[in-house]
Amino acid sequence: MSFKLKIVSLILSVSLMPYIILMVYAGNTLRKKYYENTQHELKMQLDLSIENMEQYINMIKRDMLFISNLEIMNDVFSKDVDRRISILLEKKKKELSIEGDFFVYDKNGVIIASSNPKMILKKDKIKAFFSQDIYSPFDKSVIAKIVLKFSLKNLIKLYENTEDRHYYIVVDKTKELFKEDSFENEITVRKALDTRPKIVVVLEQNQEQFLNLLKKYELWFILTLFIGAIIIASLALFFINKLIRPIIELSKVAEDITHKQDYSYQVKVYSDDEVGRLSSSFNKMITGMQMALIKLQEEAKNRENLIEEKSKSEMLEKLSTKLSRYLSPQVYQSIFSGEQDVTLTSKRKKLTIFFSDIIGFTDITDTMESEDLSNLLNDYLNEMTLIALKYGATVDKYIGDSIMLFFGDPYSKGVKDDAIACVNMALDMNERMSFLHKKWKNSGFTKPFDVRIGIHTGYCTVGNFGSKDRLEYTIIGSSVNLASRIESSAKPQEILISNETQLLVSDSFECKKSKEIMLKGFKRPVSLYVVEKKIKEIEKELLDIKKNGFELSYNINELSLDDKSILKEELSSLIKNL
Amino acid sequence: MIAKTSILIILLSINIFASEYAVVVDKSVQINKLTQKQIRDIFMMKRHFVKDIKIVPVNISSSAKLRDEFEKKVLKINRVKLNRYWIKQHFQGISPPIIQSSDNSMRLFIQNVKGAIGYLPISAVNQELRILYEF
Repeated sequence: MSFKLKIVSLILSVSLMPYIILMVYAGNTLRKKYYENTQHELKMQLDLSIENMEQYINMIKRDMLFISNLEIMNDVFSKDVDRRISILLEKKKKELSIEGDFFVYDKNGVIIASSNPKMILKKDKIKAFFSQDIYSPFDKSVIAKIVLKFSLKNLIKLYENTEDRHYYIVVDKTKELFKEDSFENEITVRKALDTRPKIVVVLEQNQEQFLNLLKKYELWFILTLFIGAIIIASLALFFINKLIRPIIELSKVAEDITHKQDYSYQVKVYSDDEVGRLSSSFNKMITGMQMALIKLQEEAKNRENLIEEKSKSEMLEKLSTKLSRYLSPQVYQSIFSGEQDVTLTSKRKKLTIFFSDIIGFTDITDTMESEDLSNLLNDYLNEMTLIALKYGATVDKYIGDSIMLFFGDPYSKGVKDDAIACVNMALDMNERMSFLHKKWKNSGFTKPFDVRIGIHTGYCTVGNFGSKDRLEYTIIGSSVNLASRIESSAKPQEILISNETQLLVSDSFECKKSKEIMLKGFKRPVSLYVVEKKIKEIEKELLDIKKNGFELSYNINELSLDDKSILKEELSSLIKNL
Repeated sequence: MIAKTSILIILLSINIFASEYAVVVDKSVQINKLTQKQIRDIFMMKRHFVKDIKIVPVNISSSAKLRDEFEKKVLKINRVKLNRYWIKQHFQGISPPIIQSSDNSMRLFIQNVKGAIGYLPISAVNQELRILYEF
């Protein structure tokens, strides 16, 4: 049963119920009232009739008494030979127009006078309705009896039956007299005569007419009920349609949304009432849901992308980590940070190129077990690489026992600083080698090896070289060859630098000019320098200390003599306080 | 009309000529003779007993000739005076005698009522009655 049908039937029953109850009640009341009224009226009429009958009976009784007292009754003594009594009785009968006869019996029970002449001198015993003794005028003894044979019809005769009302008499409870055809539906009242309780007068009223009227009304009632029901139902339907249209639409939209998962639907808002508010709230909710869904979808997409990317990047990271071992960290970083595309590009740049190798490595390989050699070599290369990275060198490649590095690409601090860093690194490496010598001796390698280093600064072509499928980031050019030649010319534990480099680092390092050498592949002799040591920096020229509750900064070069003396005093007093 | 009148005249003449009326009682009544005065008293309802016998006087109806004769010859009073008398008596609770309308009923009444006294033409008197006074 739909919601609409429920409400329609509810409204129908609620609105029609009082009407039906009222009508049924009115009908019943009308019937009851009519019945009561009619009964009351009949009762009144019957009472009146009975009273009249009694009066009539009394009148007859009085008449008989009167007759009995008439002087003419003395004719009883003369056996009414003059028929005076009979004539009187006849007259009386006529006067009263009764059905029945008067009889006068003498003491012997012989009828001596009667309104019916045929009965005179007969000795019939008559069932009398009235009887009155006749007394002697002389001695008050009963000389005769006057009797009235009386048909009860006389009583009924007083009242003519109408079409709807009938009188009849019931004698001895069962014997119905003068009863005409009974009605099909009647209201009956009955009452016994006061003076003659055995005689019950019945008055009945035909109810047919009223019932017909009632039936007519019932027809009207049913008709109006039917029409009323139709009107109410159509009105109810009209208003309910209007009322629940938003609800139906709401449920339809909700269903659609559930089936199609389309949150773009919106419900029409018809009114400003609760249903209207529900509709607008629903719309808001749907919009919210749609937004949330879109957001969720976006997020899911993002997450998916993210996951994809992450997995990709993780893969790449793993790959790059693996790759990083084969690449110089600078190259690696610059490639993976996207600063340099992995393409076949190259550029000219002034770099400081470093070469080192182990002296007599071929001999060493012969005398050492390959496992020991590889351990030793790896140890050496590892240590050297760490130092190189510390100074920001780009490790170009390991060529057996030799290392090729350069400074100035991809990161450059400037040509001079690159050169200084390179020489610093070389010094550090040498220092480290002496430490490694001790370590290796302790480890049981009896023939530790020495390295030689060559450095040159010059223009090179730097970039990725190779085929499209395989690229190598490296430098090429005569400077590279020169650096390699310089290295081969160096003595064990010597750092040999070209003139170009020496010019750049002369501020920082003490260098001793070596011989000019003709190098293979170079037409002119090349001036070489051996790096001796680092020129010591003027220590503590600058100071900048910052602590909680203490801050000190000074530049000795900016201080005048006066300033210095003042500062001394200040600091000594400060020290005292501390 | 002429025939009726002639019959009446004949009848009257017969009465005149055979005129003899008698005051009578039933034979069982122990009264043999009454004077005119006694009869008058009885019929004027002044006397109710004769020799301890309760007397019931009976008049013939006033239209009868016998009544006129009786009032004229026995009561000796005219109708007007008599009526006046009875009106007077009525207020004292005394009613005039019972009336019978015919000789026949008079005779039957006298025979049937004890102490009844009436009057009849002598011709109508039978063996059951006793004549007390003739007029």
